[in-house]
Amino acid sequence: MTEFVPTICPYCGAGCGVLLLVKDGKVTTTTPWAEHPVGEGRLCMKGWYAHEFIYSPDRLTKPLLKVGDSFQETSWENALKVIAEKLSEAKAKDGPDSLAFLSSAKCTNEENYLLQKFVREVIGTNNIDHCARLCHASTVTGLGTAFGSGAMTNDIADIPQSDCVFVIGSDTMSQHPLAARRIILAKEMGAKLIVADPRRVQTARFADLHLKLRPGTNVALLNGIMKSILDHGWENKAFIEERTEGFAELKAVLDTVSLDEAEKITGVPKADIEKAAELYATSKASCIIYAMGITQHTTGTNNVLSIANLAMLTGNIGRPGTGVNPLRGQNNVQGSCDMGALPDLLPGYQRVTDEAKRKKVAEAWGLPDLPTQPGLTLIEIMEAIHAGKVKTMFIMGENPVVSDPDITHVEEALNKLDFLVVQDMFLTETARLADVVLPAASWAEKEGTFTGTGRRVQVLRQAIAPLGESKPDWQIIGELARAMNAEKGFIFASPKEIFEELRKVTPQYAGMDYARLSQPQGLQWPCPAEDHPGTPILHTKQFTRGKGKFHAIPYQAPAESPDAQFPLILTTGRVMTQWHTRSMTGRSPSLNAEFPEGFVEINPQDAKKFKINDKGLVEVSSRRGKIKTRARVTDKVVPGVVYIPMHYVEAAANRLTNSRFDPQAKIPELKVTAVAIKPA
Amino acid sequence: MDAVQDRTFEPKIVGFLCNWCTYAGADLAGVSRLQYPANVRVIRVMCSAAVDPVFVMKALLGGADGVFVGGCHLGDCHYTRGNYFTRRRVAMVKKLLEVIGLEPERLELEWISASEGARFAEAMRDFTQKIKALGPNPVKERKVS
Amino acid sequence: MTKCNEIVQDIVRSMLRAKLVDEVVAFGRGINESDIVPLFITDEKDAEKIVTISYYPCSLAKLVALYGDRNKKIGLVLRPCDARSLVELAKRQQVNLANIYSIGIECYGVVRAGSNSHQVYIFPDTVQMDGETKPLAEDVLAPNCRRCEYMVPTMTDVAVRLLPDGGCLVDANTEKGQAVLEAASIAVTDMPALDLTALKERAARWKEKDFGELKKMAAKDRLHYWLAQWEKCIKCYGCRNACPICYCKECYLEPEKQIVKNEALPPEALFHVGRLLHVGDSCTDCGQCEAACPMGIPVSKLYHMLYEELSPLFDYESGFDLATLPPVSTISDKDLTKTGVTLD
Ligand code: SF4
Ligand code: SF4
Ligand code: SF4
Ligand code: SF4
Repeated sequence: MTEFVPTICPYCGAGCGVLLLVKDGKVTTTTPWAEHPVGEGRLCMKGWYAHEFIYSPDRLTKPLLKVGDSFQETSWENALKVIAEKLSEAKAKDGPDSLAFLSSAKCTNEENYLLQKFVREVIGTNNIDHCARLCHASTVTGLGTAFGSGAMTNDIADIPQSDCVFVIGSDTMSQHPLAARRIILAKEMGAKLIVADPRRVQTARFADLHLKLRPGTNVALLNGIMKSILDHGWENKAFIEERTEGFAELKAVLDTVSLDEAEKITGVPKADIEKAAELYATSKASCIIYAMGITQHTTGTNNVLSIANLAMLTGNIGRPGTGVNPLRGQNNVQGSCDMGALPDLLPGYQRVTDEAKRKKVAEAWGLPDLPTQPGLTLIEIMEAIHAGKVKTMFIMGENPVVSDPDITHVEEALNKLDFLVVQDMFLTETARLADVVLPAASWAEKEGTFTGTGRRVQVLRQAIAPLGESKPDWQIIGELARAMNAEKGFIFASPKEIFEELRKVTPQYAGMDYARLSQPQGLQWPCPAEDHPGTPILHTKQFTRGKGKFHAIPYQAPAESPDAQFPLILTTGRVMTQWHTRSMTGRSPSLNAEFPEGFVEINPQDAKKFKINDKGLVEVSSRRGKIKTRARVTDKVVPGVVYIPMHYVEAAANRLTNSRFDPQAKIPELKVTAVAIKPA
Repeated sequence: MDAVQDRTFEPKIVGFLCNWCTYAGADLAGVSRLQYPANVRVIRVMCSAAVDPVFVMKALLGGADGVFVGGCHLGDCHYTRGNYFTRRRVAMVKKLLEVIGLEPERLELEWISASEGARFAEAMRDFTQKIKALGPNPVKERKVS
Repeated sequence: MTKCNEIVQDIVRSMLRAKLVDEVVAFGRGINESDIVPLFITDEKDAEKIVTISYYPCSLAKLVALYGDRNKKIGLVLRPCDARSLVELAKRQQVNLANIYSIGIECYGVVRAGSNSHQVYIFPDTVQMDGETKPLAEDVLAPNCRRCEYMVPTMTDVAVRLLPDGGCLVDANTEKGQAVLEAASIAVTDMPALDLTALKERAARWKEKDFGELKKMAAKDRLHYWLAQWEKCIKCYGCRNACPICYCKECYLEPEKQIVKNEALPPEALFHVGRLLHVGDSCTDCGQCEAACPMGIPVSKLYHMLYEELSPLFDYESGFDLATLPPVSTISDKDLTKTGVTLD
């Protein structure tokens, strides 16, 4: 039998639809799904080859137990028994807060929902976080405070309606190619394109204006732009008046800003700052698209707030072609946040400290109450392990040993744990450190829902049976909960049943069910009622929080500045065909062959200064560590800045990066590290 | 810069020469101390039919100003019919060049036998002159990758 | 559903019932009315899902070449451009035509990729959308369809000719076709001659427009036009993956061949030109490459433009005669007379 199964690409947050060709029970290939609204029958290379890792010989097919220094296969029954005992023991001995959990933005909504429920109900702690901390935590806090909702306001498909697209801190062509498609489309339909990025990313080739700012100077640039807007009277006075509050405070800060100063800080010529202000403020509909170049900073939340300021100042929000559009990285990072896999938020962004809301969720779960103290974030968990406070950890589908900042520190932490469980498809760098490893099923082997970056909830369909003894994550969590005697809330026959429960406690999802979501276009949240059509554009009439709130944000320098010892700024990013820590793409031959190894980009001027040859082996060092990699001498990066893609464990950028974080969002500053470079 | 005015323009030319005829012809030209421009970098191939069009285009898109393909006279191919294929391929590549906006004259196919040393030298002079007149390959003006 | 659609479903059912074929590959309904996906049908009950609407999201010929079972007899419902691609694939030993029963649907164009979600049927001068008939606006057509002059499936075993009232006439082009119609108890209709003058004129007009604009440019401007287009490329390989002529298990464009550099985006121009070299002589202008391109690069325009130059040069019309091999990988007797062809 041969058939095409429509489902969702497992890589980026664009969430393109794919068709999996299943022949006699085996996935044979991936092709675009023509009817799907994001890709419209197109995919990037990752999408076209998304099936390749499924049958990798490295797939784990049996639970593994560490005996001495090596792993032994064991039965599910035994593995779950060991885990249940250890978790219960740890909870009894050192209290629930001595345990910490990492959920996964690669897992479905149902799985994230179930894990956070398990953590809060069965363990009794809020120590749950996931890699959203590393990408868009500052978006969730920043847009949450400014607008009342921390998500993309418009949709990828909406971009071509724009007259001016302002891309800041996003290598869209490489990271969200099918969003870049709409940017190029907008440009070809006559929109102006502004790209702010220290590198000449591919999108910048088409820009009317490329602002090559120094890493970490986003606020100075945005304040400069806003200052120029006010100077020319381009602000939208009616919008400010009717729909916002706090303008006076913002104005007070902008009054202290000078464009000359902004030029000095950012390295962007004053004339270009003014040009950007004009293009953005005077176009009919302007949108802002941003990603980790904005969020991964000690000032991440402030950067996001400044973006919100700019959009409100010009009234570019709530209409087609406008908006503040964070491009979420992982395919389901929007969903994993929506589901409350966060230490301070329950499903639907309800604060754990908000008693009424918390009690409502508790009630739905048949409990008197839930843990009231916000738990630890990702970076804090690592600190707490070092401090001896967290002793047991459970990681579902993440690989912090490559993905987190300052990984030497992370490795030490994980090695220090009394007990570590990792649930993954592969024996990742992190899984190697575990005491028990549970084999998880891949995206083609399970059902569930994913929420793409446009808040689009869509159904992932099962194409084949799980390989070997691997199981979908939702099943594993359910079985573990039952092994810990938590019968009642954890018996689900299918993800659909979990969804029926989660929509009851997640207000944004209340009106959704699998039947509605199964349409190719899915549904965009909020969808509060069964007859509600979903919401393509947020904040149309009023902001989620009522009035939009301006914030006065003065410029602050990054945590590390170049000095005599570490004279260059390292900024990190990704390449087109690799994904995160390469546990999937590294096992997809076609994808891996395109960018098989790590490198560092350096400007010819700096290369000369530090005697670096193109393709030569170099050593890059920071206050935290050093790595060896190959140099690429290119004027793609500005002088003073070097760039390393973060995927490669052999030359892991995160040996160098700084775990200093944003005080509000606790997102680490992955985008600015002071480094030195020399030939190796 | 206008090529005609640019007297310093020395074109880079890649020559794919068949082992049995044109390469031997070039050899003869050398032995006979015949003068011809040094712009041509010679790549010896076993048969002109072994010149995959992809290498012609790799050279031209990589910035070579001209590509010269030399083979045995029709009917004299060491492998009987190789050069008939070459003729078709070169005709196709010339059309392709035209379609994408490169001058088809940047590619030249000549049949030169082992005994035609003088003809080889002349062909080199002519082709180099022709490319000089065409000017530098415009592909170099815009770097895609 | 049109009458024609029903008749095609009938034909498929009868083919399966009579065991003329083991499997039928056709487009049909997926998860809703407007979701059109390729179906592999072995049970005649599923024939009711088949649609003949004017939308054609991928090459079924290529699908059969890649994933079809060579030893099985396969029925294939396709459009003329894809039927021509099937012939080209057969020339390259990628399908066994003896085992394929092809049903060609007459075609006046399909809608652009991504603009689906309608029940749409296109006729020479009209378009029927969701039951409503309107005069045909040419901009609903995919760009390649506007240049197409092969409306009638003369290269398939069975030809289904559309009638403006939604009905159709059915004819057999081959003996296999006759067997199909016998199995379906359909009397062969004597096809009235079709006047294609207006449609050929449309094709000529669009060729003139699409290619003329480029040809009129100074060579250098044309070069810069294409270089600028290629700068948008994200090397998704979609154009190659969608193209029915690109059949190779090991492709020249891939990093391990070390011809096109990896680790570079956009890819070097050779990425595009390399494929153009391989496909240009046989391109059937099916438009699949362009439809698959996320960046809106007019891929099939380029390929078709080269094909139109090569076709008269080599006297080669791709997709018809199985015995005429692709011109660049072959030589003809005429070549050997030295004067027979003017290729210089
Ligand atoms: S753009 Fe993102 S979702 Fe779409 S195919 Fe590429 S990786 Fe997958
Ligand atoms: S090059 Fe494009 S138009 Fe030509 S056959 Fe291939 S897919 Fe079709
Ligand atoms: S580009 Fe060439 S080698 Fe690659 S699949 Fe197409 S025809 Fe084959
Ligand atoms: S489909 Fe378009 S973007 Fe993808 S490889 Fe082809 S030309 Fe490039």
